[in-house]
Order: sequence, then structure tokens, then C-alpha cells
Amino acid sequence: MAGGQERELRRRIRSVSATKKITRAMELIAASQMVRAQGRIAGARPYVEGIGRVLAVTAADAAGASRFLGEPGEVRRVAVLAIVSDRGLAGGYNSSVLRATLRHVVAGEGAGTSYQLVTVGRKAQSFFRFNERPVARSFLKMTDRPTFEDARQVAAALVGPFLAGEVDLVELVSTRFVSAGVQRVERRQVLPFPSAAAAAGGATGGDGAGAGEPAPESTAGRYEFEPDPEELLRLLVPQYAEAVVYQALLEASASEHTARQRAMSAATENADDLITTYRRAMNRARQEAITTEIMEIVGGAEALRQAGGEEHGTEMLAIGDEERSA
Amino acid sequence: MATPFRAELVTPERVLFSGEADEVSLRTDGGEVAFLANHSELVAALDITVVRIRSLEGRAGEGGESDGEEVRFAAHGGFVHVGGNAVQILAGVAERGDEIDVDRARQALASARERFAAEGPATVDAGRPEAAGEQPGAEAHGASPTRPLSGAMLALLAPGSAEAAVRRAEIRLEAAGARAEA
Repeated sequence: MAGGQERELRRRIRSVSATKKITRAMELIAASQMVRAQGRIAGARPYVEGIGRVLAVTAADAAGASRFLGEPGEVRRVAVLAIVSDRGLAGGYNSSVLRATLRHVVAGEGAGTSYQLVTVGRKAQSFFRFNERPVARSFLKMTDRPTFEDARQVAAALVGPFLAGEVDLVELVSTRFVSAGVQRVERRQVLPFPSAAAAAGGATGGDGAGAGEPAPESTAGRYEFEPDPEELLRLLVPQYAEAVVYQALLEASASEHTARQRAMSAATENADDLITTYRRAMNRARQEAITTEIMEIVGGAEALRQAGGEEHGTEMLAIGDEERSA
Repeated sequence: MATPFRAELVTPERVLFSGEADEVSLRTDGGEVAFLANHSELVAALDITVVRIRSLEGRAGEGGESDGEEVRFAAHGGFVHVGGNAVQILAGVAERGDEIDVDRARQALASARERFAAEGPATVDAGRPEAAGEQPGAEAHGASPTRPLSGAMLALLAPGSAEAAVRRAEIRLEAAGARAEA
């Protein structure tokens, strides 16, 4: 029947409108979360910079710091931390980090390095299970609103093996929040502390070490330390790792909300387009149904007129006209 | 009036204090230190300590006296960096004295003391794994688990221990300006 198509389209419009309400709500939530997450990144920056500076100053004077600093000698075992989200519906946010991690691990394994995976986010769990890669530690429920305590737990899982000499290098793959418009998937060296200058630059978020501090080389011998630099370094390294992981978690969180906001905004727009298309099709179907009906009536009236008395027939035709004008 | 300098107390979550001050005092691993303007350059690990900042900022106190108004904070371990006529305190966890809930701090102290009575002093093993003996000099630096831990090690390496919890609760009460009734 002609009315059937119209009903079907009406049903679809209702369903798309309901979905649109959801995507629109998610878009708004993500937008407000993104603003808050950006605030937290800004709030954490002075601490991360400060720890980086203290570490650089201390390292400049510490003897026997080589294991904590610079390029690791021979890299055979590496711990990689991948940070993604617990939930999907964020466009390519999760898969780009995970694929970059996997690519890196596969390439490294080809060169004879063994990898230990530590992940944040449920999406990482399922991804690595699907790819049949064991995950050493996996953390959940952190990325919506990461706290420093979360960062502590994650950092402990990385620093422990490093200090114990079980891994030679600790790396981090996550999304860096450059600005609201630009987020980049990046791999960074966490431990050993890359090199004084590079780390100070890294801690400021990549956009230049604007603190205006003296160059690390020049501080050697100028500072007093308490306790001595070697001991201090041992206390500092875990704190530094915590700060770096915290910053990475915050940036990942902001990037996630941004990606979700963008994805949901596209979904909302798409729903609008669909509704317009369906509504047009529905109107056309309704118009067709009406036209068909009129044709039937007119046809019926004509048939009656030819069959029955003349007066009777005109009456029926009049009714048909009325309906057409309505 | 003493010469002002820049003082900052920074935690990962926010900057707790940033402004002009004429004196900052706190306890490092080596003991009580007070910093005045143009202190020599220093990096030190903090004990679990009360940080006193004699602030010259109007927003820190209610009065507008010309002399510094003391603001107290409880800092649960961290580092202090002195250089370029500025003192920067980096603490993983810190709070303003006047934001501390005294009743809750007292309760926390009581329960921490109970735990301490049961567990005894902290060892490095109580916290995260530490690479004791990983370098030849490590033992001599006090990383041996049998020796009592310094304040900084307690705060940073064994934060979950009962001993650290007792110290934290005591310091919070002191920062809040309340007595710990023993």
C-alpha cells in the first residue's frame, strides 16, 4: 500500500531524531569536558616544568647518573605505555594511537628488541587481545578525568621495572594536545631522562622552554644539594616519571574529548542531513498517495457516471473536485 | 622590612601560592631551613613539612600590613628549588593550612597511630620497589631497608606506610594551627 512507505519513513525520521538528540548531548558534554581538561593541562604545567628543571640541575652534578640520563646504551627490553580511552565514539582517536604503538613494537621486534606493554584505557585491552599481544599491566577508568594519583599508579608500573633493571628504556605513546585544533600521536622517551635540554623542552609542551632558565651545562657546581645529587636523583626520577605520565594523561584526556566532540558534531550534522532527505522522501510519498487516491476517486466517479443516471454522476464528480482543492 | 623575592608552591593540580614573600621556611631532609632573599642556589628534598611563607601579597591575608603575613601549608614531600632570587616548592600533594578540616585530621592521626603501633616504622619495601644496592654506593646513601628512613624517603618512597601517615596527619594539624592531643 502507498501509506506503508510513508509510515516507514516517518518511523525512520523518529529514530534518527532520537539518535541526533544523543549525539548532540554527547557533543555538548565533550565540549565542556574539553574546556575543563585544557584548564587542568595549564594547571599542571608549572609543576611538570619545575620537576624537569630540578632534575636537569641535579643531573648536571650527579656522578653515576648515566643509567637515568641520556640515550640508553644497549636497548634490549623496552616498556611501552599506550594511552587511549575507555569508550569509543571518538573518531580515529583510539585506533591511531593503538596502530602507532603496534607498528612501533612490530618494527622494534624485527630488530631484536623485546617489548612489555602497559596500557591505559579499555580500548587498548581489546585491541591488543585481538592482536594477540600480552599486556603486562592495564589501567582503566582514568582517562575521563585523570588525577595525579592515577598517574602515580601508572608511573609505578613503569619505574619499578626500570629501576630494577628489567627494562632499559621506557617509552610512551599518546596523543599530544597541541591546541584545540591540533592533536598529534607521539612517541616519547620517558626514562632514561632524555637529556637535560630536550626534557626541559618536552616538559613545557614542546613549544619552547620559555622559562628563561640558565642552560643546564652552566649550573654544574653552582648548586648545593641536599641530600647529595646521586641520592636526590634516585628520589627525583620516580617523581619525574609521575609528572610526565600525569601530563600525558591530561593531554590524552583533552584530546579524547576534542576528538569525541568533533565526531559527535559530525554525527549530529549527518543526522540532520538524513532527516532532511527522509522528510523529502516522505512528503513525496504522501503526495503520491494523495494523488493516487484522487485518481481513484475520479476514476470511480467517472465509472459511476457512465453506468448510472446523469445527475447522480455529477454529484460524485463534485465531491471529487472538493477533495482535490483541499 | 626584608627584601622581597618570588615564592611559589606548586602541586600537579594547581599553583597553591605564587607571589612576593620576604621569608619562606620549611624542613628539608637536612633540617629546618629559612630562605631569605638572595639565598644561594639549592635543590633539596623536602621532609613531610609545614611550609611557612611570609607573603607580601594582599590576597594572602586579610590585613594590609606592610610586613609579611604568614601563610601556612602542609606539604607531603617534594622538592625545593632556589635560584634566581626565587624559591619554588614542588610538592606532589600539598594543601593550605586554613583549608584543612581539623576534626578529620585528628581522626586520621588517631587511626594512623593505631596502624603505626601495629606495623612499626616504614621500610623502603613498604613503598614502591626501590633499587637498593642497584649501584655500589646505594647502601652508603641510606637506601638500606634496615635503617630508619629520612623524611624525604618516607614521603616519596613509602607514602603508604603507617609512619608516613602519622607524620602527614601531624603536619596537617600543625599547618592548620591546631594542637595534636596525644
